[in-house]
Amino acid sequence: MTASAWGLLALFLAALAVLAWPVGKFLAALCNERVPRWMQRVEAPLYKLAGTAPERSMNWRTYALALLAFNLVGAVAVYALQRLQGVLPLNPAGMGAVSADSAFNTAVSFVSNTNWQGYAGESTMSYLTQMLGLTVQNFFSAATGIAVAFALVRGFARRGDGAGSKGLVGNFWADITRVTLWVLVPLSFVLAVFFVGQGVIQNFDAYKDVATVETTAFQQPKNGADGQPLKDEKGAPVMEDATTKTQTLAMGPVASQEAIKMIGTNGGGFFNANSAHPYENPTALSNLLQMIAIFLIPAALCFTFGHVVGDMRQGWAVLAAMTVMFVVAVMVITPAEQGGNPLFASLGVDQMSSALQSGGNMEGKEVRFGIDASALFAAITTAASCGAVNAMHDSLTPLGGMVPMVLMQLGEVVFGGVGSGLYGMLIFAMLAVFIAGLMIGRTPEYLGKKIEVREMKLISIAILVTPILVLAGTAVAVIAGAGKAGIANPGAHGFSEILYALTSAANNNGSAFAGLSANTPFYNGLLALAMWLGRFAMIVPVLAIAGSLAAKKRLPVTSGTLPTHGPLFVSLLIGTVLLVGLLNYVPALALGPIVEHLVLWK
Amino acid sequence: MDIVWMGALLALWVVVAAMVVGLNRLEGPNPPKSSSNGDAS
Repeated sequence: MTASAWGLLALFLAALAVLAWPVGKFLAALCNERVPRWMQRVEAPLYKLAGTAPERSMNWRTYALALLAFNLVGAVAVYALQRLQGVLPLNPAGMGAVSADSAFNTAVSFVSNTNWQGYAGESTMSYLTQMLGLTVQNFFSAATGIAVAFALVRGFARRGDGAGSKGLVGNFWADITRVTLWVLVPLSFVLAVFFVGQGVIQNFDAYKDVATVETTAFQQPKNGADGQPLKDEKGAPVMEDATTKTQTLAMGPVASQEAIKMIGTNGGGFFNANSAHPYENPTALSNLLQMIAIFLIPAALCFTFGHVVGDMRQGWAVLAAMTVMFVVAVMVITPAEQGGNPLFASLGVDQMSSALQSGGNMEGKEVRFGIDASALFAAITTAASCGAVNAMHDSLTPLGGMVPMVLMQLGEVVFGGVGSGLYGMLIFAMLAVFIAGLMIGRTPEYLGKKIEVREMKLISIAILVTPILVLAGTAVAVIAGAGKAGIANPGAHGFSEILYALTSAANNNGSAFAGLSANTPFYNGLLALAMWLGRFAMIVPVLAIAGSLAAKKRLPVTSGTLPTHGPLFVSLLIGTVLLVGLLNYVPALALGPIVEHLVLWK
Repeated sequence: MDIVWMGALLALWVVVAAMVVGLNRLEGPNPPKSSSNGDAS
């Protein structure tokens, strides 16, 4: 790694630590249900309208059913908005109804905090759909994840009285209201104003046609009579030459969506190019703030965890495990991209870094950001389950592309999504103490709560859901004709594209190897299935664990208790994440990016 | 087509709602039955 890459990483981590601490402390107050009187007065009409009371704590089943009902209504609303947008206001570009399969995929995608986008925003969605459907779900899906993390942390913190305890984990309606109202909206407002200052657009104007300085010649895929791209006998798309003297500039309320897209680790771009688009991410400073915003709440929740369980060392241990894995990932992806493409070297292309160029593999990267900021962004957006991109991941080198894939395959626990990163990591922490308990012959316990048979069954379900969805889904896609039809690059890279898509969907990331043509009924259906179950079939066992833990007595620390805050436990936790999270995928990775790397560097 | 895709959404919802019911019944192993004869092993 170059000195500038190290400097950027250090600046990023330092700024993150400074900003995450106060946010984590405030989130802890919300988790402990210690809300100032004036906030309670603002909330009161909302609870009255909903017919609930924040002090009415729920058991895990009620909490889960409330969460599922809330998200079902959200999905139906997003679907309906897309299908009806042609007759609804705030549609200056005259967008018609989104196709039923794409609307279904997008509804599930935004409700599940995945924000996989099979469509291009500027050519598909009206402003109303973007604001009322997608942006609103950006808030609610993020709040849902934080609410689940709150429930699990309360499970550890509460001192149940054993079998007679009801295992109460909090009030879902109060959690989602407070997180949205007092955390996500204020942070997003401040960030949106900052983005506008940097040049991100925020308007309701019609798209603008402008004359370009020179005539632009380009190639575009040739479509057949059925409107589908034509392919030659090798499966490659048939291209045709075209020229243009004008360009249409898409407009819209971008900044307001951009802020929560990052803060909520959603990642769905207003434009198809996402954060590589100058209207979404205009400057180096906006790029740095976007990266910090992605990790802000996941890092803050580690501090929240420490505060709520009454031992800050526990939060630091989880944060340390996440940070070590993240830094290692950056240390792999950045040199891989700085190394460039050996096929270009044989053609005499200068790929060395200098004052005039970034050097390395610049395919698919913004010249404004270069290698360092693009590689760091790629690691951040896939370590967290964000999925926003400022470079095209399909154009990363094989090893560089494998890093985002692996970060997702670890289960999105390296910082991870807002809420989902913490509860995913705590699942691995419980598994780690179970393994340690087996080794030393003691009943495993974490933070004074015994991890028993019921918890281990639930942990097993939570850990196995996503690998099953990814591997089975990939197998179906590479067997089915409709799955193979979407591959733009036949061979190992085509396999990587499909593996990446299923990995991204089931782990609720949303980024893509964009070479895969996934806006088809087959992929819209398959990926929606992976996104929904990857989100909610994980949340349900996590809430069950929360309820189970909340009912347990909290045992005192004794000389025989395994310390879960030192370097030994951090190492054990990292080992568990790597072994359990990654080993499932090694054979699949060997068929995709590893083969690609060996072919490229043979 | 809307009915088909909304039916698919409902089916997905029912799966996870059924998980709530199913996991609620998930318990640890049954406690060993008391036997006056003691274990054979």
